[in-house]
Amino acid sequence: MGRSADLVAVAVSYDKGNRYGLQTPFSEDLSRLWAGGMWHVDATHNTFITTGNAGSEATTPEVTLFYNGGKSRYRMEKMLSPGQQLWLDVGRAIRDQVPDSDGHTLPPATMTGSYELRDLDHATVGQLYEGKLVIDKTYGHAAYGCGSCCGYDAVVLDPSSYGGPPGIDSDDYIYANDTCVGEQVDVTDSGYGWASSDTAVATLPSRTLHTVAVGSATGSTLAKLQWAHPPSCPTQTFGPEQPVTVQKPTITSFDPNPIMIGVSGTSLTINGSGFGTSPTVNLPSGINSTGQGSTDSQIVMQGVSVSFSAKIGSNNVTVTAGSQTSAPASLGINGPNQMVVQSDTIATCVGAPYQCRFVSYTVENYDGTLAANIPIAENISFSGYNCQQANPGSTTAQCNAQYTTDGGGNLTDEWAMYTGFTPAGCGENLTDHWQWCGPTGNNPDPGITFGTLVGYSHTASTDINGFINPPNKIPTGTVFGP
Amino acid sequence: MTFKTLLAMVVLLTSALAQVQGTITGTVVDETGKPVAGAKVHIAQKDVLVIHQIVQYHETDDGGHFRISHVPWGTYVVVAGKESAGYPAPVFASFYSNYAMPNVTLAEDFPSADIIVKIGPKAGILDLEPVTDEATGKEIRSASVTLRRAANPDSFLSASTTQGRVFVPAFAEVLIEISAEGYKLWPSPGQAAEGKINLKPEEVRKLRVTLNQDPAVTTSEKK
Repeated sequence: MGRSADLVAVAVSYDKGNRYGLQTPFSEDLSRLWAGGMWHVDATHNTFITTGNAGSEATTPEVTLFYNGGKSRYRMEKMLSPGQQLWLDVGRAIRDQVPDSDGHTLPPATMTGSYELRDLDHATVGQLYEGKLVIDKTYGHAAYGCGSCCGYDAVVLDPSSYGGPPGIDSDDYIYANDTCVGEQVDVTDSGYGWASSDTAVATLPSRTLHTVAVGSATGSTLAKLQWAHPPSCPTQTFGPEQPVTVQKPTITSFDPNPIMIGVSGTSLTINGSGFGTSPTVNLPSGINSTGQGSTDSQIVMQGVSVSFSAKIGSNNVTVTAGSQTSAPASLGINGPNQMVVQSDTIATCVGAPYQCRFVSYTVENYDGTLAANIPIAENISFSGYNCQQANPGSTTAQCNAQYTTDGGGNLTDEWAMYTGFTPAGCGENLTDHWQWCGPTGNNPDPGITFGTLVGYSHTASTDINGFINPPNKIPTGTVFGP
Repeated sequence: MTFKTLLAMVVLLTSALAQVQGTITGTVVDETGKPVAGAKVHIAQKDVLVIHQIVQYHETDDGGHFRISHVPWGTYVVVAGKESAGYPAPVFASFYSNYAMPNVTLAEDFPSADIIVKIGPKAGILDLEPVTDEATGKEIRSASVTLRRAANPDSFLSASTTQGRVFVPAFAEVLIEISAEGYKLWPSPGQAAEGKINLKPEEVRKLRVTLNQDPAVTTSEKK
C-alpha cells in the first residue's frame, strides 16, 4: 500500500537461539479495529498475526480468527502494557489445539479464514498497530499483508438544530457513523469543549443546552475520534455544530380548523414554532385530549374530544413552553351557529281563515356550510299575555328527533295573527331559542342554540328581533345568531 | 269564530293528543295527474288557532307517495308544493293553488286515510329588482310586495322584496302592490292597472320599482 521510498515499520521475532527470525511490516497508523486481513495454514504455509500497543497506557487487544465461511470464530485477548506485542502462530494453534480465551479450539482441518484485531479498552481512538506474515515453506516466500482499519465519519450533534422557548434545558447527543458496523452510534462521551456562540441566548457548558432569551446562537462541541479513512485511520478532532433558535412559542395554524363539535377520539395538530420539548396546550372549555406528541414546530394532540358544552365559533388556544405563553390563536369549533333569513311572508294560514307570518331561515354552520337535515328544536318562552280570551297556546319543537332542517338547511317558522281576540293588538312577549339537538336528535337536550328570536306575537303583527310585520319584513340575508 | 269555539277546539286538540294516533298516506300529483317526486307535504289541523308552530314538511318518494304517522285524531288540511319545480311552498297553497285542498279526518273509526293531493299549475315568476328610493336611489330593504288575486282581492300574499324572485299565481289576473313604511304605495291609487299581470306557468316578468317618499310621514317614523 505504500509508495516508493516510504518508511515501513517492521516487527521482528527470533527463536530462542536467535537462529531463525521473522519480521513483518506494521500498519502505518494505530486503530481501535483492524479487519479484513486473511490467514492461510496448510502443509506448506503458515501465518503469523501480530499486534502491539503503541499507546501510553495498557490496553487489551483481541485477535479473532474467522473460519468455516465466517460462521465460526477463535478469539484471543491479552492485556498489553505500552510497547508490548502479541504474536499469534496460527499453524501452531491448529496443530497443538491451543484453546482460545473461551476454551474453544480450531478444527485440525481448518486452513483459511479472515481475522480481526480490536482494541477492547479504547472504543473511539485505538492504540493498536497490526502486522501479518504468511510463510510459503516450499519456496521460502513470505507474503505480507494486513487488514483495513475502520473508524468514524459523519459526526453530528443531535438535535442537529434546536428551536424552543427560553428557560428550557435540553440534552445534546453526539452521533457518528461507525464504519466498522455501518451504523450511527452514540459517541457523546467523547465530547469536550462544549460551547455556545452567544451565552445571552443559550448556554452549552456541557452536553446540556440551556435556553436563556429570544435570539440565535450556535452550539458546538469537539470529539476526538478515529477517522474512517482507510488504509490509515488517523485520529481526528471533529467539531459538530448546532444552530440554536430561541423564540416565544407561536401558533400559526391548526389542522383541522374548525373542528366539529361532538367528535371524539380524533387528533388535532397545532403548527407553529418555539414549542420546545414539553409544551402545555391550553385548550378552551369543552375540548379534551388523552395525550400529545410534539416537536419544536408541531404538537399533535391525540384522543381529542369536543363536548357539546364547547362554544361553537371561534375559541382561543395558547401554548405554554418554558416560561413563555404564545399569543392566543383562533380554533374554530364547527356546528350550527346562525340562521339566515330567506323570506318573510304574510299569507292565509293553512287550515284557518286568518293571517299567518311565515319566516323561512337557512341554518348555517360556523364554517359557512349549510346545516342540512340536522335535528332541531325550540326552547321558547312567553310572558305578559294580555288578551281577554284564554291563551290558545303554541306548539314547539322538542329535542325528540321529530324535526329537522331540510336538505338545504331550511326551516320555516309560523306565527298566527288572529284578529278576533280583544283588546285589539293584545298578545304576549316571546323569547325563542332555535337549537340543534346533536346528530341523534335527542342529545344534548336542551339543544345548542344557533339562533335567538326576541319580540312579541300580537293579534295584528309580530315582532321578530325588531322587525315588526306588518309592515316591516325582515330583509333576505339578515343573520340571527345565538 | 267565537272564543268559545276556539276554546273548544283547544280542548279537543289536547284530548286528541292523549289518544291513539293515526296515519295519513297519499300521493302528490301535478295538474296532469303525474306523481311528483321530492314534493313537500304539510298538514295543519283545520280551524285550530295555534299562535306559533314550526312548519313540518314530509317529502314524497320517487313515486310521489308520502306517509305521515303519529297524527292525533282530528281534521287536517293537506297541502303540498315543490319550489324547485315551480310549485310554491305548501304553506302558501291556499293562495297559489287552483285546486281545493283536501281535508282528512282521523278518528277511532278512521285511523288512517289515503288521499291524492293535486298541485299546480306551476307559478309564474315576478323577477323583482331592488326597490329604490326615487330621490336618493338607495335600496329600500324593508319594502314589501303584495300580490292579490283580482277576482278575490281579500286573498293576498305579502313578501319581502329582497327575495328577488316571487311566485305569482298562473292563469289568473294578479294585482301587484309595492309598499314601504314612509313611502307612497306603488302603483298609486287610480293606476292599479300598472300593477296588473297575468302570467303563464314559469313565465318570468321583470319589475323595477322606485318609491316616492310620503311627505305625510315624518323622517323619524321611517324605518
